[in-house]
Amino acid sequence: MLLFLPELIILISALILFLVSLGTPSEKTLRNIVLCLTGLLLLVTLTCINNKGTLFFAAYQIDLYSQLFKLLIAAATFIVIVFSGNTPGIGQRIRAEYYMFLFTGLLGLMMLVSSVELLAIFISLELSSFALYIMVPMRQSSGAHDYHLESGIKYLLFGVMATGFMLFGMSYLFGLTGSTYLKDIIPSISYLYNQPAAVTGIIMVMAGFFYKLGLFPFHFWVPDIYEGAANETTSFVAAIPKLAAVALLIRLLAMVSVDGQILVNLLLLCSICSMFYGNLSALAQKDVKRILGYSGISHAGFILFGLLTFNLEGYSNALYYTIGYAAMTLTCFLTICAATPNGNNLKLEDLKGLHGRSPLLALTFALGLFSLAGIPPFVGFTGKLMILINAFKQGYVVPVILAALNTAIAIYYYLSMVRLAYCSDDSKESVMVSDGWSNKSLALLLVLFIITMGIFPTWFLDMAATVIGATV
Amino acid sequence: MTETLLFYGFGLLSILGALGLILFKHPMNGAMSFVITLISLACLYALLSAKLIFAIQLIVYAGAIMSLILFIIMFLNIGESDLPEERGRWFYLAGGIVAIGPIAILMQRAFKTLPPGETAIVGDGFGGVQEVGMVLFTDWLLPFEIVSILLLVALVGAVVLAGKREVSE
Repeated sequence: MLLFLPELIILISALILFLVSLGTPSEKTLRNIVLCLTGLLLLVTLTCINNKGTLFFAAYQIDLYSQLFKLLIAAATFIVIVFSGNTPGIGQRIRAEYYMFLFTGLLGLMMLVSSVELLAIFISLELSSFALYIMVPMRQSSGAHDYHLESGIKYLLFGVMATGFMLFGMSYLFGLTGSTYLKDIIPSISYLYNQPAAVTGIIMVMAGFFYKLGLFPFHFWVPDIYEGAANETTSFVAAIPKLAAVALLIRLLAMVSVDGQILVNLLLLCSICSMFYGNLSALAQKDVKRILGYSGISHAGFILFGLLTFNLEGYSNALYYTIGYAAMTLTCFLTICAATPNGNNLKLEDLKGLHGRSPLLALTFALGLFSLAGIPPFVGFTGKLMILINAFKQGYVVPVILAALNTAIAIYYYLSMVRLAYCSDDSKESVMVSDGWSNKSLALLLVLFIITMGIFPTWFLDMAATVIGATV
Repeated sequence: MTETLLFYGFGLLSILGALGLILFKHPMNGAMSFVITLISLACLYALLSAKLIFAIQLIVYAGAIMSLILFIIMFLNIGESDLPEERGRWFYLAGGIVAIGPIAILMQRAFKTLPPGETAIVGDGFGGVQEVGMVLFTDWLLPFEIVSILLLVALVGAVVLAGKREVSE
């Protein structure tokens, strides 16, 4: 019972919000309810971090690894909820339902990181996806941009396709090993992971997580959904499912080792392709959220690249990078949400003169982008450096050169956004951006976190290594 | 022997039905050929002596879901003029066949190189209601329980998305 407490809290929160949605709550009441529930969730996850045990006939494993991811997911959600304010992108009438879906999606993600059985993994992944499928088209239509329905359909179709691949792959794994429990599958598959049947199965199972992570070749939904969904929804999609996807990828990669040459080469190709695809496409974009979407694709490539060394160091680097990436993205989205109080999309030209309108926001945005670009002393730099060094030690020389090349390409579009925010004056009427104390303190906290992670990576890496070492 | 023949027969039928779903222009024809796929899949399950899945496949998929789809197609009353003009579909079809080629080769290799293993003949109890219920409530209790939340999400989501149009008008 106590082991399951965080999930129970989310479930109850979702049900409370369902009840609230039946009435007509005022904007303020609803926001307070949601803030309280998320804060409670964060506290409970924090107190449950040292729980250990298994539930549901060993299909559900609670250990430091899963609890750490749950804490990260809860913290990221709390940040999104705080900075999304009154969620201007969502219509007043369906706001309670929106939060209900957010919580059920969260429940799916939390259960995902604890699931160690294929069917449980599949159903929790579906739960989180279903909630997002509905959250994306819930954006309020305001004439100028009416493609949220289109992006909702796209998200659904791509999601269903990825799910199909994943289920097909699971049927292969089940057929080859006769079990749906990861603890039985991993030892039996280790004899045959070079067989074409096993390669096909493993790759197809991973496809489902590639989709969540936005990795090549399952990245097609990313830019459209980032652009079409409301700013708050995009912030959620950009950071939180990726944490859970990485958690599961690390669990699944235990099936493979460096000897599985075909698989490693295939995954390496995916990782390099997503870096190039993301960075090159981002160069030509006009919408800030779209740029961040493409940059997300390339960062996902980096995360996979870190995982591919198949040693503890690589896994912990990837985990470190993922946590850093979530923090950096949330920093950027905080600015986007705060700079668009009417819930519209942020075009590149809207960034002009941001430093005049809101110095703190502009600074936060610039630091977030510096970090994404991989400029020291921020976490983006340290993370990339660690991943590249580790890959270099393993002998991946050409991929490391290609990845380094990508960092150089990426700097251009990140810094051009910074240039727009700082070095160009607003010719139009300048609307002062009002940022409340909650946004200010949150921005400060995130920036501090990014810098601390970047300067003192040892503590984080050690923690990641202990956590992963106990699991894989 | 008969089983092998039946397997190939139903397998071929299900592929033909799926092809028909893609190739027929009118949605009604597509839906009807999809019914063939669903029924032949049910027969394949029966060949595996999975009784419950056989019945569920017939009742739920071929019965309930397909009649819902047919109902919607009839409700929309789609005529020839409503259908979009599909130019170059044969071109796309040829492209698809070319793309599928390597995958087919991979699949063939996958099955040929499988290490030899024993295929156990399943017992009488396999696939019955009781046996499925047993695994559903022991090994797969967690997925079974989460599905209820999934259904709640789908239900409320359908209401929210369907009700949305009224608001914007």
